[in-house]
Amino acid sequence: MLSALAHHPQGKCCDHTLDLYIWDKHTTGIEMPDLPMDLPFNEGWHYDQGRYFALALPFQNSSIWLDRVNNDAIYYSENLENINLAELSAPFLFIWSAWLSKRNLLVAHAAALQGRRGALLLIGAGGSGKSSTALKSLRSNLTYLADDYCLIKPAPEPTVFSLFSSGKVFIKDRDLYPELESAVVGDNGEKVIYQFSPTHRQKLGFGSPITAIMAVSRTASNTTAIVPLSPIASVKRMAPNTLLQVRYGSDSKKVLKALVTTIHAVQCLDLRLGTDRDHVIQVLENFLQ
Amino acid sequence: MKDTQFAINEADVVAEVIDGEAILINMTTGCYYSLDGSACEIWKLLQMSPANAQSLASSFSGDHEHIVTEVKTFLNSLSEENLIQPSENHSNSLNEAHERSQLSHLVLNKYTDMENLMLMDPIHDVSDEGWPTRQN
Repeated sequence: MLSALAHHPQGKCCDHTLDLYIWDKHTTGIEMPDLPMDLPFNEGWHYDQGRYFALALPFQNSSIWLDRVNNDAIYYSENLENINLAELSAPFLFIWSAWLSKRNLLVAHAAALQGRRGALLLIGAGGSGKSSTALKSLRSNLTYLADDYCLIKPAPEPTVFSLFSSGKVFIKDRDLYPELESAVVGDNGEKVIYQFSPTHRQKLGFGSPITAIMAVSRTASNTTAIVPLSPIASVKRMAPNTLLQVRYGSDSKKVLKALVTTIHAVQCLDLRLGTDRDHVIQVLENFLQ
Repeated sequence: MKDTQFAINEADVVAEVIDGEAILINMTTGCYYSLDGSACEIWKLLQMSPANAQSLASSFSGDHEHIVTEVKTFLNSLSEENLIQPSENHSNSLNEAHERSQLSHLVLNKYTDMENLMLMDPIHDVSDEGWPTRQN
């Protein structure tokens, strides 16, 4: 359950701490008591009223509970052995969103990589090439920060932080990344899931100020190009994905405002991916190194 | 067509106006939208105050009756997407705050690529009273 978080430093680093308790009904034999209220039967529900946040995800057979005042959280699972790969690649996602949103950090749906000049945030719809572009950093001079979700400190000093050390790629593209085979932990029928800690530990970064936001798209051209992109076009490519994928635990209106101010504070670019994979790496290294 | 007064559906819609273009996200349906030109101006006016087609049309120069008809049609399209809702609340006067411009074609651009996220597994919002009622 903790593999995707294993790359983070151990020990206390600041005064902001969250005590997270993982409660497995299967191994403990202890079931979550019923709540004194009617709840949707066999469907998900969500509660967020200031201090307390709770989210039940029946398709994952799990629920999360957060006390933002005492900084305690519980992850309750019917059986941790049945956790699906999506949950394993982004564990406790909504706990991070609900807890960190009160600390001016937001969980964004974006990939990220890092070089000497800072970090690149890669945005775009599913299948646009964000993940595969981020994975290319693992064979380059750049550092891998994120595949699907990352942590953003909004403007005035926009910074991206790594949250999970996992990654994924379409099954049909698996053979394009032989150097990542040692990190494969399974597949969900559509994508291969990687856990890069500890197999690629030296290629994992923790965070950096954002140099640019790149909206990723695939082209039929051989070569990769970077062209300017307007802030509104960047907002359209980033905001719906982040707000809808990570819609629990944070104030959507505040998140949208934070994304807009962050996008205005950094360079916005269109990364048009060519079919020459080595050229993609070269272009990104030239931009960031 | 009745001239209903509308207000933005603040409970379900998040929106920002950037460089003359509005981006709207309906958090319950997963659909998102963009508005530019006069459509964006109308959205900005609705952000200031509930309004009906007559009052919104007064913010634009030209054939008033024609503009009212266009604006009514546009408001209905916003309403059908649940981006705005009928409102009985007091509306502030819009005329003094807004310089009149010519009405451009009113278009609501809709994007549905994220819609499946909301349809796949419904997540119900629960209040202190539970869902939908408190158990005794």
